[in-house]
Amino acid sequence: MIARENTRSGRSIAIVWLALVAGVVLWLVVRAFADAWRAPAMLPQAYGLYGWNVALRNSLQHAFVQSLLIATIAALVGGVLATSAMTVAVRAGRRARRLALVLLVVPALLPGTVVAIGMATFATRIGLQGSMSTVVAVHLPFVMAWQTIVLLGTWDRTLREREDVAATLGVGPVMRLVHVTIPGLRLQLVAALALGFLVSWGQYTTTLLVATGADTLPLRLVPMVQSQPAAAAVMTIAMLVPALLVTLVLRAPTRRPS
Amino acid sequence: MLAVAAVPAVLVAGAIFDAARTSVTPGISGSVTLEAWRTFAGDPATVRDAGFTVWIAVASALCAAAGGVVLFSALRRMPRRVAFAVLLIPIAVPYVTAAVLTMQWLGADGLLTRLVQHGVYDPVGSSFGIGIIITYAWKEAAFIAAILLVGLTRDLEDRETISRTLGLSRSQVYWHVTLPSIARPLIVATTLVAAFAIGALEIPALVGGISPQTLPQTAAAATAGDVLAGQSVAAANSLLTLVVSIALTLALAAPLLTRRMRWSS
Repeated sequence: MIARENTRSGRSIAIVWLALVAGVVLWLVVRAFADAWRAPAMLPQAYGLYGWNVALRNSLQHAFVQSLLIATIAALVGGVLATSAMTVAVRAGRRARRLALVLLVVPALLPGTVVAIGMATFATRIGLQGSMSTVVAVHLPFVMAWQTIVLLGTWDRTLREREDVAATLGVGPVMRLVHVTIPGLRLQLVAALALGFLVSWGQYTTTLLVATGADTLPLRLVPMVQSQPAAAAVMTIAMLVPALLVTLVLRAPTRRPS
Repeated sequence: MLAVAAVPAVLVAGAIFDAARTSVTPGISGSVTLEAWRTFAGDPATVRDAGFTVWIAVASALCAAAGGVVLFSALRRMPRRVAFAVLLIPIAVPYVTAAVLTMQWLGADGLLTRLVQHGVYDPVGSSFGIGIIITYAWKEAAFIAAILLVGLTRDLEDRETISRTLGLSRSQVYWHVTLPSIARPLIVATTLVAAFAIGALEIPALVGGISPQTLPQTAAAATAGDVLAGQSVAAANSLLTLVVSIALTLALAAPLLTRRMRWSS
């Protein structure tokens, strides 16, 4: 009885939620093609491509490609580092494992401003201010923290046993990683890479403070919001599409047994 | 390979060290001075902005936690794929986009104002940060619900059924069985939300008011004028943000740190 009532209320919430999302996406699309849309009218007074032209004039394509590149590199580098660290950490002693986890996860709890401001002055000193590598470096602690959270608990007993069997058969650590660990963690790794991409893709605070001149989508979008609503809608759609595509690869975890 | 785990910590520790150094060595001369700290501490807006930052973080985290518990309760008996499909959309939306979406819905010329025509409260630009809190609440409620769903075990349902069989009302079951079972992941997720809200700039910049501002907003503004002196003030500001963040994280996570929680799921 309770279960049925809860399922029904859950379904209602899901429908309302999806309707809200669909509504706001539709609103954004209309906004993107509205050349004139004065309140309180429900529909635009004039349609056109003004917003698209403004967005393209403000190098939307360049910012899009840059953001894509930075997020992909940060997700891949973070994924490799987090997986490597976790591979060793799960087999280390309890203290070493805890220390590794704390080192990896704590950056998620720290304010982005302090990391970005500190890294910006260091980057200026070594002449890398505003470079892509600096932007990736400032995203990395946050990307790795969330990737570690996804990877936590994925090394189950079966996987560890399989790794042990491979080691007993004389397979080296690198081949073991490639042929046993990575195939065994495929789904979680894809989820970690997707989440890492999302974390980097949406970074605004750290990118702004570490590289004022960087050309990423969030940095292009913010100044447009008040002055150019149609162009801002175009850029918002450009930010939403890859983010929503990436969620398709994130799979629901199965229910844990008691 | 375990040393790889230290990469983010080294980057973060180096950044904090450099922020501390910059706050006491403005300019290129390299001489040590507390000028930036004096400027920052002497500004009457600093205490107000710090208080506002804490208010935003705590209110956003608590609203998101309440929303997350409601979503979790509604979605927990649905098929996992459907529940996560619903939750992943707001989680995937970048923060800057979330702020734009709030403006599109609730702003002065947003959808709600156009639908209702008049008498609609505009939370965007509110001096109480209502727009900021609403944005964090709808976006992070989904994150908190997802964390609670991941931690959900089958025996919670069994315990709830047993409690009902023993004569407890639905609300009693909820307060004495369900909530204690999800308390630990709820506290962890709420702390993560508060910690993020303290140091983030995009949502306050877009849906916040002109005054008061959050500490990250004033840090970003400090570097807009005199770059060298501004950077030192911004560094001092960011270090205060770090201290506030650590204090708030410890306060929110106190139940986990001070006693062994009886209710772990």
